[in-house]
Amino acid sequence: MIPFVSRTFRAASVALLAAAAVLGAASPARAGLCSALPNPVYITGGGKVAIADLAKALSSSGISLIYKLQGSCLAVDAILNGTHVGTMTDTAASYWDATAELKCDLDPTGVVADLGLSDVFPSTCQSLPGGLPSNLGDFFGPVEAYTFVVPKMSTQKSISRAAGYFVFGFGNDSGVAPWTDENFLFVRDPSSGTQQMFGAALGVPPDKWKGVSATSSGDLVTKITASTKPEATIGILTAEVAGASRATLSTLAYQDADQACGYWPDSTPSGFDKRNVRDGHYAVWGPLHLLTKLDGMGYPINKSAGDVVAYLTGTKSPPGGFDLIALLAGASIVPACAMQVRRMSELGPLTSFAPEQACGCYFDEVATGKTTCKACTSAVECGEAAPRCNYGYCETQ
Amino acid sequence: MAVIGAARKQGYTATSARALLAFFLVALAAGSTAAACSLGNVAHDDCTTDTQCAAAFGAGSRCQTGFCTEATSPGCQKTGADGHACFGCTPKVTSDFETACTDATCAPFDDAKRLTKLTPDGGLPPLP
Repeated sequence: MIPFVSRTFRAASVALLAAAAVLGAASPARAGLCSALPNPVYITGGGKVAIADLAKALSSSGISLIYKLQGSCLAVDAILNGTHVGTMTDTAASYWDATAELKCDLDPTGVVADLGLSDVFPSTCQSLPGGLPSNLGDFFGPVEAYTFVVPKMSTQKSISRAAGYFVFGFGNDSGVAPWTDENFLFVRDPSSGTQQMFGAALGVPPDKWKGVSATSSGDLVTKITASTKPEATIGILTAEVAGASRATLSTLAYQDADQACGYWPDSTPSGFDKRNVRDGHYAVWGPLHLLTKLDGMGYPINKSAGDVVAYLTGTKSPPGGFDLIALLAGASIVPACAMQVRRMSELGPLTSFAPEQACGCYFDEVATGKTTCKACTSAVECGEAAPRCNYGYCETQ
Repeated sequence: MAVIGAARKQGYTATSARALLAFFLVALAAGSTAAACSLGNVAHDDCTTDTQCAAAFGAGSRCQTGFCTEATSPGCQKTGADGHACFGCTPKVTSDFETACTDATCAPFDDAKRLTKLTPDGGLPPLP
């Protein structure tokens, strides 16, 4: 009798110790309440890659960027409606010192976010017939592309808008070989920016998608990679995540309704230049939306949140030598200054875009290792056709 | 002349109807030698999807009741390196940007061959 209890207890103790060891090794140590950190700025939504490096650069300036990962529409809700971020059972958030990500705990009753990062326009998440309230700012940040991905073993190269409509809108009944089994269609959830964006692109409402839901983009990568039927498998990811998973996944070319041929985000399937996003050949993309509350004069109420907006939109140089363009290029994201087209509504009409301090040449250099632009140290070295010297290269403006 | 007559019934100009006729005759004569997204692959003298029309006539050309409408800017239509029609002027609207001539690699998806559940007029059925 006693030995059984002892064995059980010992086994439970060993299991708990092992679990604790695994957890201790897997997650950074907690550092107490986030509110105890100097000048906390609470940020929620996507865009972690940019926030992480910016937070490291800002760590010595006495500003603590505290980040809680959430779906885009939850970030919109947090800023638009003041819905608290964090719950009694989910208080873990991230912050950074100069080199590493650390963990802290949000107040158990949650906190009001200062800045929301959404992949989609607020109106995509919530009905806003009168537009955004005047006390809410929606600043356009770097551009993210959204992609269909298949396992590396798949032979599929492209998908059209109409094919995507059938595959994810009809599932088993899509009639689009080889994507006719819902068990191998990997989707996200309706609050995900990626699913919202593709929902708008394909005309399939995000809550009507057929397939197996992944809990995160990382989970989706895992599911697709582990698929037992690679040819029948397809999923959706940001170009950022797809780009980081090139060893195991292939991105499909996307053919919009007006197009006779599908294009990859890059000018070649193996490229890094995002040329087709930048010039409008690749259709499914949108800017990161930086949402924050404004005062009566139209300035961000939280000045530090306003600074983060300025750094990410390129209107203010961040401290600490933080090179946003290089960071984004390495993460398959396009800074607004490298775009040649823009749109003012979700997947809305494209128009020509000539950013004030263009960085297309520098972006090419850091993304691909080469550029055809003339290097410069000042504008006097640049010719008439490209008279501005931006980021070390002659640009048109 | 039946093609022109039918085109006129659809409200197309005589010029575009003649162009269509000429195209269909060439396509029929050429057989199926054209690229995957070309109307040359269509065995009879009508279209089934917008993609076929965009590939043959350029951005903005749509398949309406079996006939391709004229491209948005016919004077700007060129043939790209991949054999598809492309937009060769300064792009102004979305379809111009999406179909602008480029040396980027592309991979066609043949809606006409691979989509088995299009409506009879080539459209999308409502979601279940």
